Amino acid sequence: MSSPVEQITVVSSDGDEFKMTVAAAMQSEQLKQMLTDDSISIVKVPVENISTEILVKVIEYCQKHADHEAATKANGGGASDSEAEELNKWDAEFMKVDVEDKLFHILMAANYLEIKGLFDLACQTVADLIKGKTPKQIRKIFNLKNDFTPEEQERLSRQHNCSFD
Amino acid sequence: MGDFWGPDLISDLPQSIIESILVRLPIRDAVRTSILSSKWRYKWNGITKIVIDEKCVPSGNDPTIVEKSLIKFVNQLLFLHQGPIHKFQITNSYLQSCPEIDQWVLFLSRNDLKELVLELGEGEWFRIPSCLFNCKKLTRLELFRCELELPLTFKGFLCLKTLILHQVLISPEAIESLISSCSLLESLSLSYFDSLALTIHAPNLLYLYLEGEFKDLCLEDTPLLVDISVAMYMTDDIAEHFEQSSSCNFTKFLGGVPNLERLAGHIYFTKGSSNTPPATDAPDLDFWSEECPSDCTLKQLKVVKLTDMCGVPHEMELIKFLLANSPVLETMSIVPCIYVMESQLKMLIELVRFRRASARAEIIFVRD
Repeated sequence: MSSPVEQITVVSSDGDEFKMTVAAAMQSEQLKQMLTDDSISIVKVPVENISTEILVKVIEYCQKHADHEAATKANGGGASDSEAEELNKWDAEFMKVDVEDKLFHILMAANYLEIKGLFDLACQTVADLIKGKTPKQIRKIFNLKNDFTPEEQERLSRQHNCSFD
Repeated sequence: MGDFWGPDLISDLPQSIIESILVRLPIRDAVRTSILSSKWRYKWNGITKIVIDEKCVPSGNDPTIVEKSLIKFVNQLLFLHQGPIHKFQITNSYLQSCPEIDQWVLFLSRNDLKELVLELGEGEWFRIPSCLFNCKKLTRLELFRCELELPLTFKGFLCLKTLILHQVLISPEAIESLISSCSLLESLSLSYFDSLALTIHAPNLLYLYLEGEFKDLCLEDTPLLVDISVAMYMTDDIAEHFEQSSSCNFTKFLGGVPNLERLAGHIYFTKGSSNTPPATDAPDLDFWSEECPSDCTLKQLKVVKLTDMCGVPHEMELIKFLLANSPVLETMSIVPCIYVMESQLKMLIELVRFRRASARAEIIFVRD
């Protein structure tokens, strides 16, 4: 290939096109594989199961983390504690999304594109929603229906030595 | 009753993703998901990481009851679990050595165990059952306050990369044998051992952390070492041994570690002699020139930290040696021994004279 690729285009399931810098794209193992494989010439990458709304968020994450990596490298290797903390704060803000609407879509997108940092972050966010809550509270958050019969509830509740609520 | 059920957001996610979520929960929360709905009954079953830590304590004030409850919980957990368990950790002061733990280790040894961390309560030390040595895939072993005896037929943990033994009762021959038989070992940490004389053969070792009373230390086959941290208790006996010994441990250290990047040393005196500074008229330990191999350049050494330096001859020789043989050294931090105020100035005067191979080297003399 003649000139090095600096940007790639990803196409959402809604048909909208977005440009991503190579550095950002490399945050995704899937895209990274495509970029480093010389036999594939990349024009546009369709990501069929990711909507525009989610893709925008994903690209935002990838760009932020790519920028952070570049800045760290420029400083000679180790990220300072304050820089790492700043990134964590950014991640926390980033993940303040609607559970109903976006959280799981972001999780699935990160899984599909193999973006480890985002996947871990999303999983942890879901875990934090479950941690320390009663079953009733958890069911409410995720719209789960308690479909156990009263006898099953009784038995399981004794087995696990805890309440169903 | 007027509740509008939105779509179930989570239950139909792929099992691998559910497990990625559950594994990030404290174990009790993970197990409790089984009562969320019939779909969730067995979702937690396949998690490959089980951590019983201080957060895992059921309510109750009586430690015996808490312990019984914990044991019952773990028994139930393992009984209901399905599939491999890659990581099993107990870091809980309520759990003491008991026969049930033997059974758990046996169960784990049959389920592809890769990482084991055992840190039980402060009671009787747990005697590691021999079935642990059947865990062929073990990559990480971390034991606190245990007794370990190697079976005669043991050929080594061929996949072990990290070994951490803290207050473990094990014979010196057994430790050496364990280390040398785990040829992939990359990280070794031994702490709180008494009067240990140790020779280390570990061709893949990258990180070495030692703390305790070491009578003798010899790095015989550790060419890849990158990071060494040694905290040595010095009793009067051991100090005498060092002074009389003709082969210095530091030479044996630094002769075979060409890739060393970080070195931290801390030698301090045990309770008896902490108030008396060592004899400054000790015989001059001049073994550097004789014992040191000709090419002893530490080409990668960047960071050195030496704590509790009193300024005695063999310490100054070590500093002199390091400064002269580390062409890429960036920082050398020296934390002087606080009981030796008057000698600090003497130490500094000597230090300033030493030749430095690295123009970038900063010597940081730390005073509290």
